[in-house]
Amino acid sequence: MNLALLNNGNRFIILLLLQIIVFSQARLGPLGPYYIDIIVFPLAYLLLPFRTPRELQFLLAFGIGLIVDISMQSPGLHAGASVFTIAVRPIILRLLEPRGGYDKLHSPTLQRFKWPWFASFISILSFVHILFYFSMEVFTPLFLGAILIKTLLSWFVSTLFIFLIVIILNPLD
Amino acid sequence: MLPRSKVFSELGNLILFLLLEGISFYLIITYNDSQAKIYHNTINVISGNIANQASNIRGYFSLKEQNSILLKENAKLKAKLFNLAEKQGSKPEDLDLKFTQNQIFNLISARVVNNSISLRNNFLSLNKGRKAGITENQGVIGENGVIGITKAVNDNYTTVMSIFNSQTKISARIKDKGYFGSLVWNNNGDVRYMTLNDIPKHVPIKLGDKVETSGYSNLFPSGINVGKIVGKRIPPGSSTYELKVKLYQDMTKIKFAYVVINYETPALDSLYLQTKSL
Repeated sequence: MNLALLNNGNRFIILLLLQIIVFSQARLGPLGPYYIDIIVFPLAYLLLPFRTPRELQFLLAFGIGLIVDISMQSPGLHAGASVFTIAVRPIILRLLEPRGGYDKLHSPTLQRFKWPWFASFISILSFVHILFYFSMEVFTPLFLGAILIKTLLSWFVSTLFIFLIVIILNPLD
Repeated sequence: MLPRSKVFSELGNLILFLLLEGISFYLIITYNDSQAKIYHNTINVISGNIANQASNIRGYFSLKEQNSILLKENAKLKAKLFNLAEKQGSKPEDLDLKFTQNQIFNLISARVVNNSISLRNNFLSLNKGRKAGITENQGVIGENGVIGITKAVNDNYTTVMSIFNSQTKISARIKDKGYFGSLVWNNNGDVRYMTLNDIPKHVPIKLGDKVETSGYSNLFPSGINVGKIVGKRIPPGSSTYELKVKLYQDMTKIKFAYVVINYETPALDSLYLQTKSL
């Protein structure tokens, strides 16, 4: 229990620092208006243990989103996206449920699952977060094309970076 | 530990989810400029039509009253015209007001189709928009004073940030004395009064002094009567007055408004930008 608390706490802090100090500083724009935001912090709340109370999941996702928002001067955008994504997480988990179900004490980490499972889990949910984020950023369905292009570009780059972080830091339960 | 009831937990989660998303949405439309504009515009389109119909119907009930108000205003303007003609020694219709070359302000009349006064940040809607020549950031006046500043415009409707909005600040001065300050609403829910700040405390202020627009913001022409001073106070440690101003305009009853088009704004704005980039 204490170990899980420590691991997740460290994860939140490290990913927050990485997001704010490194990734938020670089807004890649080789394609003019279709810039790329690298968003890696969702990994922190996506890896919360299965047994984490729902209320706590919502509050933690909202909190970390809000902190990133404050540093990026986009109040509400990441907070809303994080809460939405953590709300979707059980649905995706049910879709990806392995034979025999999940062990309540585990977290959705590479320690417990193989790459194909982990890659689909992360890429689906980071897509949800980034799609919600850019929908709220553009804020009008009139520019659906712009939303989708930005989402796809940022999703691709962000997911690559998330995998890189997972390989380097190897997060545990 | 007792197992929690499943229904409560799920319902609680749903409420928490909606609450957190609600907070996020509120933050988005409050602190992000472009999202706020899009939001107001959308609300405009949706509510504008409904409010327009409702106002059409309501309009019939106050036709007589509105008519007499407009007649009075017309008479006042006519009197001014005659006086001006008298001074220049010509007939009113021959007056050369040089409107074609030197016109600075133009007014567009519009009907108020929606009006809130009970919130912390109040807005109004007008039944004219971009097609009539209205753009963002133009002053809106009524028969007896200032009403607000245009905030979002679409083709047929305009949202106006009311003077009863925490973000509205209007440059105003004491009539015949020239000292100017900023007129704000202090959110106390009382829509009869506003507060005039920033007048230095050495200025002799009498209760009953009149307050008018200063014309410094180029949103409003100078000299529009706004109200009169009914209370004065110097907050401890401050070097300026906090003046209580009673408004002439009854914001709870406005039906018509005029949007002020200032033809000098683009030139002034570009000059301002030049100064800023120095």
